[in-house]
Amino acid sequence: MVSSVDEDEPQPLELLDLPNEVQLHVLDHLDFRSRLAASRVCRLWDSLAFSGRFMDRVRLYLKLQPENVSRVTSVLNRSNRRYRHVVVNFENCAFPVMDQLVEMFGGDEALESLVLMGLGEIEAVQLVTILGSTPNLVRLFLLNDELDSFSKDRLLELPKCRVASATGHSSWLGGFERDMEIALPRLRNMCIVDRCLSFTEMASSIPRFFPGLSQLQITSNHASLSSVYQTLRSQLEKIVILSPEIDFFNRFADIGFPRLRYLYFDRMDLNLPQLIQKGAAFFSNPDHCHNLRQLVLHPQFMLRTEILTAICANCRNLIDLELSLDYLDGDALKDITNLTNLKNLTLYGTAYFQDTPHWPHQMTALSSVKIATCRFPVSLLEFIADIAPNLVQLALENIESPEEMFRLLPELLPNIRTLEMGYTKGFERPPSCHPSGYLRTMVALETVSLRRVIIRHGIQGWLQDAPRLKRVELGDLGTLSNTHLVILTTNCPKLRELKLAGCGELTREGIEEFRTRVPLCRVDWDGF
Amino acid sequence: MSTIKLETSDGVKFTVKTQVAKCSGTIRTMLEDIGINPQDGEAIPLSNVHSTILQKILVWAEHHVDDPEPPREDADAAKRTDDICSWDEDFLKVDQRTLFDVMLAANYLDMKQLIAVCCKTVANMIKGKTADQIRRTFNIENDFPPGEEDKIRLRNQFCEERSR
Repeated sequence: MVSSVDEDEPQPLELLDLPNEVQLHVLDHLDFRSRLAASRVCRLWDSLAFSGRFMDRVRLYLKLQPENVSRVTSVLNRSNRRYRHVVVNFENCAFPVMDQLVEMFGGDEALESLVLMGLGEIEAVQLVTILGSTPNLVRLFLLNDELDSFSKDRLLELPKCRVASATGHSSWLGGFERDMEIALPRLRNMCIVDRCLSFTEMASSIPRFFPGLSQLQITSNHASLSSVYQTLRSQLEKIVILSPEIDFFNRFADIGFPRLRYLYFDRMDLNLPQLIQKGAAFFSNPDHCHNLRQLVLHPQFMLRTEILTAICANCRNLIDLELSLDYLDGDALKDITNLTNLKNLTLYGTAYFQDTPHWPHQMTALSSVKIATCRFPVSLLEFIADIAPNLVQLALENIESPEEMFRLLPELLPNIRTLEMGYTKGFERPPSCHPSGYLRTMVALETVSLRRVIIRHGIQGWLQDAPRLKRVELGDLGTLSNTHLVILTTNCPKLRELKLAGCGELTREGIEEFRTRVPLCRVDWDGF
Repeated sequence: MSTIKLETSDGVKFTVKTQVAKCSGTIRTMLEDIGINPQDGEAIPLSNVHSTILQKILVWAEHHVDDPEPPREDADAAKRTDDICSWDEDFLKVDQRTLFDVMLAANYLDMKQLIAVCCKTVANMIKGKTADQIRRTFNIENDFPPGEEDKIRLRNQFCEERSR
């Protein structure tokens, strides 16, 4: 024998020999994609990679069609992964056989959050069966519509949810019939999106099926649903209401919510004299006015000053306020200065100012303001500059002809640290204009974020006067090139964080070049 | 300055400043809770740690003995791996076997900061690699039954990162 195994020499230690908790600790340091790759390395890592707290970072997203149900379930079955967050998009298909699907969730006690969308053709009994197999749900979203990418913001932007004249209701709503059996005692957060919730039996079944609800988000409320809020009034902490019926608000506005902290009203008609009065009374109700911390109010047409006055007189502990101002007399904004605890203010739309008004109070807590969809932003900016001495963050979204505003920015708000500017996809003509040429005298500015503005090749002044910038975020800038990144490295030598998303012209080489030039800067690029 | 003695699995005795030895949660517990008295001159037996590894670990502990408590990280997010100080980076430029031996010993000795920096180092060796490249890097055998890895790939396609 030429070679002999030395009995005393132990086998060299390998990564897999380390205790599982140490291997888990390694996996905890991986980003999402690397974690997925790690799960394919070996059987041990397949079970370790999808376990523990990571399950709160991952969401299972299933697009189901009758043709692929078997394939999807066979892939998912025999897996030990205990998902906590699941989205199922039924894509408005009918599913003649439901067994496999139920088997997939089959009494899964780990499941906390379930979103079912594209429910159009789902039968009541199918919904009841699915919910019968998910006993520990905390969060349940039922969406008749299909959302291509699911998020709270997208949900609230849904254009289709209006009170429809349709008389019939979607068949899955039959799951809320009186004699159905759904019991989700731990459910706290429920969201129902449908075009018309005229199914009166829901009024009694929602509190009975889901007795622990504290967050309720419902579109197209039928008048009968006001009794749900009446029943749950003492436990609701968050209420989101989109496009309700007029009669719904008539009844809803009489209810007091002692635990309410967050209220979102969207596309609600508050213009009939009776409704204005009701709205003002609602925002004067001491049951909830003092507790309210966040309020979002987008009336269907204009915001009436009576309602704004009631809010500003009574909801004194508001921290976040978001309003649509359309056609509001700018002078009415003076009431907002009563809200001395307000930290974040968002104003959509245009207010008209007759002359330079006098504001009664300074809002010293106000640190962040967003102005959106505004045609004449300058007068709003002047208002903000007058009342908010401690403002550090300004966001501008879908602002028309912003040049004059930029020119005034350094003079009006010289102390802001964060400036965001962007245009959403619905905005047709984003201007080829950005604030960089005006940043010279804004000595406190550390963060600039630009989204969907047009950056021309080699444009003069591209972040030229901002040598103090530490963070730059650039999103959906189709014309941003590698050259612009190179200019950034010379113009912003103190840059420590660069976020890039949806900038299609950038290449891996451009990013590497940037990294070599500014090695201390963290780069987050979605193109990898 | 008070010192204590430590004895490794291969019978080597180390005399160590008490303060440095207390970087190990395990030794700290022995001294403070169980009441082992270092004045007796008896060495504390570390039967799971070899002298070559303990020596290395003591160098690390000596360097980091005055480090402040690290800030708490968000437990739900992926932890950072780009914050390894350059001294540690050099310290951990060792072959894999030594690195894993250090991790095993640090785990036994309950040295959270050392484990963390080792785990970051290993994570950096994993990041950006395919499953196959990871296997080759760490000499891991693909022990999936035929077809199973494809199923995991399909399963992973249904997974997306939650935004919070």
